[in-house]
This record gives sequence, structure tokens and C-alpha cells, in this order.
Amino acid sequence: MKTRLTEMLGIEYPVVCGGLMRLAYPPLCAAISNAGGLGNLTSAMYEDKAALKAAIREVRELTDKPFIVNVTLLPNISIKPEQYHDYFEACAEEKVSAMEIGGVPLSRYEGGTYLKLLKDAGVRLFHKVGSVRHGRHVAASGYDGVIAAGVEEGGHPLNENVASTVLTPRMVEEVDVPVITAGGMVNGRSLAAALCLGAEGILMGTRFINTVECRVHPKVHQELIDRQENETVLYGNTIGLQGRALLNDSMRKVVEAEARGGGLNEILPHISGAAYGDHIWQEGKLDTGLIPVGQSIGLIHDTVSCKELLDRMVREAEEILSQNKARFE
Amino acid sequence: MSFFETRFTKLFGIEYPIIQGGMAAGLVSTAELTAAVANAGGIGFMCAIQWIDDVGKLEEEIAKVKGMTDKPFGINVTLFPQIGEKWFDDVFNLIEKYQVPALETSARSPQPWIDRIKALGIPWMHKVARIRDGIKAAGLGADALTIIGSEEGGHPGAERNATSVVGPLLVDEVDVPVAIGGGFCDGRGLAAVLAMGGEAVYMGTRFCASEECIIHPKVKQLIVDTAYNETDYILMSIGDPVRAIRNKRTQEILQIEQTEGAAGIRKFMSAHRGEGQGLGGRTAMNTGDIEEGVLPLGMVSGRIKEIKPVKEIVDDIVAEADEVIRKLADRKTWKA
Repeated sequence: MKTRLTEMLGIEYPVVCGGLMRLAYPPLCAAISNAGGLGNLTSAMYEDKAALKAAIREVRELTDKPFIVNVTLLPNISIKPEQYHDYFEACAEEKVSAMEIGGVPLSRYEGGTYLKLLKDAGVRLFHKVGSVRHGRHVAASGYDGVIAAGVEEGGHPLNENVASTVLTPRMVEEVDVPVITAGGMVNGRSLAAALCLGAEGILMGTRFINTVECRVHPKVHQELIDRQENETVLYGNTIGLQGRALLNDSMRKVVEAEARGGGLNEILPHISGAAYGDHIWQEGKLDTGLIPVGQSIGLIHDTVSCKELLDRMVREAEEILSQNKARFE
Repeated sequence: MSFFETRFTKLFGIEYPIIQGGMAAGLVSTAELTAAVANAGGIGFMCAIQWIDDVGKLEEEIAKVKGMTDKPFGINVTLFPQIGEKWFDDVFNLIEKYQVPALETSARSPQPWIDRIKALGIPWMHKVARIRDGIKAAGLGADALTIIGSEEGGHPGAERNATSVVGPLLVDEVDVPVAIGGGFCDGRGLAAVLAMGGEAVYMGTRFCASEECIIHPKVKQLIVDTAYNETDYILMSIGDPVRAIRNKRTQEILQIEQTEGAAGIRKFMSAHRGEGQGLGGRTAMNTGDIEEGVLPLGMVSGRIKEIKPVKEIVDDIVAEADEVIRKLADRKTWKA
């Protein structure tokens, strides 16, 4: 399935894994890339330059295919400013194929130093945005592609709350670089629909949690199968950073606290780094803490290998588009 | 055979899988619009609730559509429980009397009216925002369903689920044909709906910005001028949310909701009762009071650049969908 994205990166399928804190470790990253997609290595899980470099090399032991490294430049109390410098330097020095940046655009970060460093190193840069204005900005500042993230995504959808059906085609009208749709993407029909809306690839996060290679407690996989599309909540608007997460005891407390104007100190314990810790992913304790997944959980019905997932998606998308063409003949 | 044949086009006997949904914030989906959509090869639904105070006017309107087109068209019956039974009875009688070709129901479960609906013997589509409501309506015997995502204007449902998720999900859950709406205005949208497994694209805002729609020209221009991120989602505090173009009034409502909650909003609404449907100038769609009224239009306003005749809207959608799907199916590169 050839698009400008697959050509640019030398990958088989236009399907990218989004950053997944405490999940996108080298084995999952490599499994996705080996299956023809673009695996993600999430930098915030590593303490410094040496640790991230070691992880990059670990991925390279497992695959000779390209992969993407995520760095999210959002307010984060557990990451020190110099750690971000480390991440960018590690990626430039290792000449990784691509980076997924979120939050502050590199053009507005440290005077554009790292934008130049990474571009000079030949790293393909993608920025995740929720608004066309931000998309135009990053495209003009030299990024290689824009990830248009609809409000249905898990993690941190922009508080403009625009959904994928509108954001993707609007972005395609405004930027010349390839647009990748994020938010609600989960199967071959999503892929086909995103291509119809003008995207040249899709980015999935939540769907990749339910793969064999994403090593989490079996309860996590079962939970995402059992829970439905209407069981995520938007939170964080009272503290200036919107998020979407699975509704559980902690999120009920957050929503309740926000509704009565409870401040940051009350909310923070439920949403900061430790809240989405390994008690969720490795111990399967799902009632407390933050589980940042998207509305796409409604369409997740199984846990399969990355290869099966991607082959199935692309086969389904190709079939749909051929069948739809037959309507004209 | 229809050019774009789906189970939906066969069921309703139409040429293209394009639906103009029933709209009722003032006079919006009237004979002029619905007949134009029918003549262009799609199907339009007139909201009966537009004439809630005078069923005689609905009768005149039905007669008017029949004089303007010989193609299939439909009536939307909004099943608000607070409306008296007599009104529903009158509306169903008119549908029978004039042999209206199609029925759309919406807003509540059709259960209380199911015998009456089935006795009409015409193709019946029920519109929902939640998957479980769709499953229930299919179980009751609806011939087709519409599912809409939270991006749509008007009443997009309280669960705030996006079209990209609920569209394909309902298709999986029911056997009847599903139309998908919320966020669509063009051929890319129709192609995406077909890719999601939908069998018709459902649109409202796009048809408001048509020459034939009788809403105020200022509102049509406002749709063209509005950006994709300039709608508000109001009235969540009372559990009956509305998406409308952001203006002075929606911002005021959001402010009251934030500071005074549901009680404050109820007080506000009753103070403005009599100006439209209790909300203070919902009829701004017709008066053109674009700052003081609530204009229930969708996010897709931000993708609509032009006020066009309905036939051009429909023809452009079909031509663009054709092009998009052909390009993708050619498989040289997957770029549409």
C-alpha cells in the first residue's frame, strides 16, 4: 500500500504506532515495524541519552526496519528540561528514521536548535496537532508530515475538540506534506475512510495495546475488549491540559473534583506520571490510575499479533476500496 | 440501476445514497429544500415538528412538496415525549393521507408508536446517537438506521462519541443498512462513509448552505465564514446537548452552565420562553439574528466554502466521491 508516507520512510503499510508511555518498549516497536508498519519507541520512559540510545540499539537488534521515536513536549513534572535535550541528541546521533513530536513545535523550542540538529541528521519529523493552525505552522517550519489528531483519541486531544472526520480533510486542504489521521483509527475500515478523507496514513495507539507483543497483564487486554466507546472521559480542562482516559474510580474522582472546582493539587495524584504506572499495565489493577485510551476501544474485539493486525487491516482496506470502485462500473 | 447502488438507495428508491436529515430550529427543512434534494437524486426529510403548533401548515407543506417533485421524499417525526399524543396522531394520519414515501423518526425510542409506524407500510429509518439505541430500533423493525457522531450540529447526543467510531460500530451491530452523519459535506465524506461500511451519507449543515434552503441569508453566509473549530457544545448540564455555531448567545449559555449549573440554565431558558423553543431565539435560523440566537450547525461548517444550488451540491459530491474512490482503487499511490 504505497503512499507518500510509505515512500518517504521505506515502510510497507501506512500505519504508524503513536507514543505509548510504559508500553512502547523495543519489543512492541520492533514487532510493528517487522509487520510492515512503523513501530514507536517512547522516549519519556528513558532517563537520559545513554538509556534512550541503548533502547534504540535494542530495537535495531530486533528489526532492520524503520521506526519512530516519540517525544512529547508537554508540561510534565517527572521529566527534567535537560532530559528532552538528551532525547533529541540521542535521536540525531543515532540517525533514527523518524520522530513523532507532540506539544511545543520544535521551531519554538530552544530557538529551533533541535529542529536543525534533527533535520541535518536526516530524521523525518512529524508533529501531532489538533488544529489546522498548528499544522500549517509545523509544515511551514520544515516538518515532513502532520499527524491530525481528532478529539476521539486517547492521551491529550487538543481542547478545540475537533473530530477526525472534519480535522483530516481540513488539514489536507491546508498543508502540502502528508497528513496522518489519529483518533478513532482501529481497523481496515478506519484506514480506508482516512484515505478517502485525504490522509496518507493513520496513527493508532490504543489498538496496538491489544497486540500479543504489547506485554501487559491479560486483564488490560480483556478490559479494552470489554469496555465500550462511551466509557472514556475528557478531563483536565480546569488545569489547562485536556486528556482522554478510560472511566474508572480515579477518573470519576477527577471529573467530580473538576466539576466542583477542585484545584490542581486534588487532581494531580490521579493523573501524574505515577498514576499510569505499572500497577495498571503489569499488575492489571485497573480501578485506580490513569488509562489513557481513545474512543476506539469500542471497536477493539481481540488481541492479535502485530503482523496479523496489520495484514488484516490492509487486506480489509484494499477490499473495501475495490468493492466501492465496483459501484461505479 | 442506480449509479451508486446500496441497500439504502434500493430501500428508498433513490438514485444517490445522500440524505438531507430533518432539521427543525425554526423553518429549515421545508418543501423547498426537500423537493430540491429529491429532484437532485437524494432524499430529504421535512421535520414535522416545525409545524408543532399547526398541523394544517404541515398538510400544506406536504402538498407543496408533492407539487414540486415526483421523486421520493420523507417526513421526520421527532419523538419528544412531551408532545401530546394527538399531534403525533395527526402527523401519522397526514403521512397516510398523502402517501408520503418515507419516514424518519428521531430523538426517543420509537417503541410507543411502533404499531402506528409499521402500519404506514413505508420505508422507515430511525436516527440515533448511541449504539444501544440503534440496536433497539433495529430490533423493533426499523428498515434502516442513521447514526450520527458528536461533530454534527443540533442534537449530537450526550455521549460525545465521534463519527469515526460510532459509524463503523453500528454497522457491525445491526443487519439493516446504516446511514452515517456528523462531519460530512462533500465527496470525500461520502467515500469515507462507504469505507466505514455505511450505505448513505447523512448531512444537514451542507444543505442549509444551499440556495433553496429558506433560512436567512445571513445564516448561510455565517456557515461559509465559520471556521472548523468555531462551534460550541452547549446544554450538557441539562442532559440535552446542542452543538451550535459559537456566538454571543452560546458563550453566554456556557458561562451560565459553568457558574450556575443546570438550575441556572433552566431559569435562563424559562426567562426566554416564547422566543423560539424556549431557548431564546432558536428561530434565529430564520430571523438572521446571528449573535442573539442559537444556530444549531455542525463542525463541518468550517469546510463549507460556498452557497450552492442543491443539485450542484449533490452532483459535486457524487463526482468527487467517484474521483476519490477511483484514485484509491487504482493503487498506483494511495492518495485521494
